[in-house]
Amino acid sequence: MTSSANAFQSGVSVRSVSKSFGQTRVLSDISLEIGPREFLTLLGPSGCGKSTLLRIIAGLDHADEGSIALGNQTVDGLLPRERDVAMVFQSYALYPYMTVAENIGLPLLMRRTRSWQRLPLIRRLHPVARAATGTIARDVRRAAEALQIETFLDRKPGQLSGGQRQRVALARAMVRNPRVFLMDEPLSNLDAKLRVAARAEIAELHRRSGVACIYVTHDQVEAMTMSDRVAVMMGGEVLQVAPPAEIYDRPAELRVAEFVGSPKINILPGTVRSDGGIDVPGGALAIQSRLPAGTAVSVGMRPEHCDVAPGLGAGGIHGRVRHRENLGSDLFVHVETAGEHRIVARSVPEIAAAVPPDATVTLRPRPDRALLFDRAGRRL
Amino acid sequence: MIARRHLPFAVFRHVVLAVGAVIMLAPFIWLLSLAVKPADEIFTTDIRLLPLKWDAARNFTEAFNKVPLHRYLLNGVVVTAAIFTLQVLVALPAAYALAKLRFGLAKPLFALVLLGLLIPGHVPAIPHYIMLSHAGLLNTYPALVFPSIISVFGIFWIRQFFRTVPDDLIHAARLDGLSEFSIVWRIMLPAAMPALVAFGILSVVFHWNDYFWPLLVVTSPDMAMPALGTVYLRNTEAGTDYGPLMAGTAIITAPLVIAFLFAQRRFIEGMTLTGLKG
Repeated sequence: MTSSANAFQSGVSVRSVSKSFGQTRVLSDISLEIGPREFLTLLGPSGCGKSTLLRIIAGLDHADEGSIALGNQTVDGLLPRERDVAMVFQSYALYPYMTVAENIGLPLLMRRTRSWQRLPLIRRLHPVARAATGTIARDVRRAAEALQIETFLDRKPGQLSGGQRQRVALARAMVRNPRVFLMDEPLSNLDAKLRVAARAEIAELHRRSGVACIYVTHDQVEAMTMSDRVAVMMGGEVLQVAPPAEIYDRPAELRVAEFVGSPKINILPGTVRSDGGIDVPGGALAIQSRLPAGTAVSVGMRPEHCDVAPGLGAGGIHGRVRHRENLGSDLFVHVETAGEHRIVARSVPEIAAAVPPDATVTLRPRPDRALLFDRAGRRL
Repeated sequence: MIARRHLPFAVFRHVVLAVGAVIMLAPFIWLLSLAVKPADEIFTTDIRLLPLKWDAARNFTEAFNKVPLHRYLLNGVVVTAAIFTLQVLVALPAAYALAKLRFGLAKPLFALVLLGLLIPGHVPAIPHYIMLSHAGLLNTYPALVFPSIISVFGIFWIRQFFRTVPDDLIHAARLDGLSEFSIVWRIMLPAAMPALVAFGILSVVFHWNDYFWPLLVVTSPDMAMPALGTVYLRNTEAGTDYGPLMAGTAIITAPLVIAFLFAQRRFIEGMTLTGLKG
């Protein structure tokens, strides 16, 4: 098949794609370049347009403006089946009345035989059709073995567990070596334990196949752990495209910073002082910003970059402990500062006794890790 | 206890149902009773369900001898099967387009389908008759079949069922390389099986029992449909012989009753339109 040869050169280009449903603009001027072997995640809250973008790439939906290219080929006029993409759906979308083998084999059957060869009697008697049936059975078995579902080939999807169905859906996508994999929240119907295993498995399958993959999710853990790059989407726009670590450490916008990370990043309103430090409710940050004095900023601090110490220390931010969460490995201390701002700080469980509820504590954010955002939410 | 509290109501409910059942079944039971009685017992004044002298054999052989009953049954099978097959061939793609495709005319076309539901089948009978007459098709199978090929009820019924099929299934099929027609036959048809069985029973029962249309277009007894055929039993010159008439009627009703008994579960499945579970 030529498609597997192409797979090594072709990525996906999304060029200025816009889409509205009636008055609602779901995608505005999206541009993305996905490398030929890249795993790119579209991360965003529900309703941000990420699934719509995926469907436009697949050809199941049409953009109002803009264009999609797979490899060097513009595919805007092509039907989904002509684009040679494979998709895994959130609901798996397995054909309920076909066996697992028929489900996996259907894309091959449709591609390798002509319609008259699929007629019931001819399929058994015509030499070409029979040969195709043989190679399809072989390829189905190979795909099934890669996903360890070869023992279920004769069952119907209804007789399988969620995890097994998900594997069948993956096998159906993989079996024909598409130019690109599109995955629409494929793990969201699995229980937490299976999801962890499936994450690693999908990432590994992607590496082995060497085919570009666009993965849609609202789960930041999936995005962070599986992707080469993450595109954070919100309100029909791409806010930032970057490797996971960069998304986390250097978010381009306040909205990205707030969406990625758990517990959520702490945001405090601040004002730049004449010496470059920043006043925040309950204290100050000892950093050297080069912003003009008096500039209003939002200060973002990740919980793990805030040290907590009991008592009123010099410098830092003072506040009162409102709540503690001991996860065994970590202790999250919820502190209320002046102006009823809440800050969550990550610490070690050993200090739990020293910071009982209502105790006064001093928070010391690590100055080099503080993130400053301007009024519009852009990082400074 | 819930059961005890509801007992009076349950009794009441069953009494109502039982009365209804008796009223509906009574003519049929009477038919069966007459079908096994000799002629002189049919016109006695006392009501008895079982005959004093069983005459079933004579009545049933008489029914087959007087008219070609087997021919009517064959006509019934051929015509109802042809109608149902063609109805499905039309209704399935139409229902798919109306339920799942987005195109400008989808709404007005569906409105037309609903409008079609409001028009009694007898209204276009004369135009149909004239068309068939011009085509020289009167008194043929096509005359019995053609006017019923497009069933707006079938389109509506299957469309409602298709609405319950998840869109993702169709998207997956498109990506897997299926054309829209392949989607109809390979993906939607198996999904619609319960609805099709229910529709099939309604269609077959209606056309098997249809008296009006065959009466218009059939002129020779050998083209008669079952319901029309029994009339020929009545119109024989020597006056109506009720025993064979009832026997003949019982015979033409039997296939439907048997078919329903076999398909009962699927029929009810289709009626409740539970849809497709992922």
